[in-house]
Amino acid sequence: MLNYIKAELWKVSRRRGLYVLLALLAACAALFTALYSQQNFAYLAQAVSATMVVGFLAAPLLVQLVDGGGADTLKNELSFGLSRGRVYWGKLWAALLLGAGFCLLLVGGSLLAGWLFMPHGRAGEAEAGLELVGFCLAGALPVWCGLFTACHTLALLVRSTATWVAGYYLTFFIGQPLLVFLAMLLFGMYEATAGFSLFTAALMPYSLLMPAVLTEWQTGQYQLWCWGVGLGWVALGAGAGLILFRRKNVR
Amino acid sequence: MTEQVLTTQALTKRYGAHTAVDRVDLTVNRGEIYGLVGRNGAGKTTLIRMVTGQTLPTGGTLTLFGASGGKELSAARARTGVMVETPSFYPYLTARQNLEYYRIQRGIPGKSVVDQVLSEVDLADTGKKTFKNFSLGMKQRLGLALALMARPDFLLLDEPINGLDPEGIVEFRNLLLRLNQERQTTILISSHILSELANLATCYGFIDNGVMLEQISARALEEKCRACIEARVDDASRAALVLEKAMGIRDYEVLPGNVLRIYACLDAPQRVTQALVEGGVAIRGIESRGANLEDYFLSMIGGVRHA
Repeated sequence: MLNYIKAELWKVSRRRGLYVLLALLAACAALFTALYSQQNFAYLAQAVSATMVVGFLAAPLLVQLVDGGGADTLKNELSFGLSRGRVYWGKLWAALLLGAGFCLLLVGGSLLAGWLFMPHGRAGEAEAGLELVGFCLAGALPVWCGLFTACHTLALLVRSTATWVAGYYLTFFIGQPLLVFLAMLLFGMYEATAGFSLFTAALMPYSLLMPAVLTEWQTGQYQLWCWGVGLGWVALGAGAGLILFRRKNVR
Repeated sequence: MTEQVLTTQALTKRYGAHTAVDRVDLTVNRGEIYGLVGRNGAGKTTLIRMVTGQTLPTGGTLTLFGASGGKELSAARARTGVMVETPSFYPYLTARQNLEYYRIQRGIPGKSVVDQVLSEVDLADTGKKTFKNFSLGMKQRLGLALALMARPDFLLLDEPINGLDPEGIVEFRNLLLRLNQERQTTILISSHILSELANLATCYGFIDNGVMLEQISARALEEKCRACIEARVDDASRAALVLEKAMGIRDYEVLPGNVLRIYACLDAPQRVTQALVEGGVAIRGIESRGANLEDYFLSMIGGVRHA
């Protein structure tokens, strides 16, 4: 498995798209940081904690860097005797590690620049900001894993990249909100209830990456929801992906 | 005892109502070069895909190096080198980078193996040219390089000489023969170019409409296709006596139904006719026979079709 992940990351490091995407996101991160340059570090940290949703948007692009670009190469790997399970998990791990690397560079870069060049504000304020970022990252991590798993499953099973990427965004931006709306109409679920919030979070996990929209979200329960929903998506995505990939005729 | 590298029993693949491979029994022994012969859509590629794990069988069993399932079969597949139809690689990587990727993935030690195998297929000088800019022949060579990289015991090659120029075909043939003779690599090769297969194969399997029609060794096939005079007579024993006594011919065989196959005197069949008649043998029919691989295959599938 280690060899497989190593090879995937080696391959991705040869893709020009990786550096284009990295440059684009780094430019966005730099601009974002610059916008807060007149404030203190705590403001920047708070702002960074609200950017976790970028992981949801970037997931298909990062997964595509690992899974895509080599139509029909899966037949080589299966012919070598690599199990379909190893192919599935190997590529998923590589995509997750790539995502972690991007997160480290972008979030870490912004915070480091802010820490070095911005005023730290009152005593303890900067540290509180860092704690907030840590809290948000801890919640975002499993949700990202769930979204990456969904993307990876789609990438392995759907031949056309445009189709699955469009399907991913359409499902989460239109399909799932419609389901939530239907649930409201049919089952009388309303926003005020915890059940409705959990239902929304399960169907639209990216809503957990915008915690400011939730009330009293800096709680252990929020983390529990993030981990439950995120790992649930991992289990469902990987389960469905493995079952279908094991039956797929690779050409 | 001959070691069996690959055996399939009643191996079947159905796509809905269509049966692509129908209860195929196949045996490839160690050291053989097995030529899989069949026209387009006969089921050759599907059969090879099932062996390589790309396609899952609907029924039957396959045994590769003694393993027929689970992790053992995966481990057995690691001993194979495969090239199925047009090779697929990452278009943005060079030949060297593509092979390096698979070298890392398979944990093959030593970077030099990549250069070595590229030299073997004459792709060592492709430099920074990426796969997407390769000609079909270069793609085929790279596919072969990948198949050879892990020094396989068993090579499965599906239409490997498509796109190769005449010089490339000769080099390819020599390479396969060298691998077979020097490393005892067993090879299963399918090709439309039957004359090329005839230069390589030590054993043949003829497949049509997903059904294995016949498996035959090259020697037995040669024997079957050997040029001869075939005569149908009223009394085969008397005819044999005449051939031996009057003409001194001993290279013949008697087949059921009073049929004689005479492998001598091929340039003067009228002498045979005359001798038989003078010896009191009634000839019901006589003809010169002989076939090559192509004729044999076409006669087997029942007429001229695209092989």
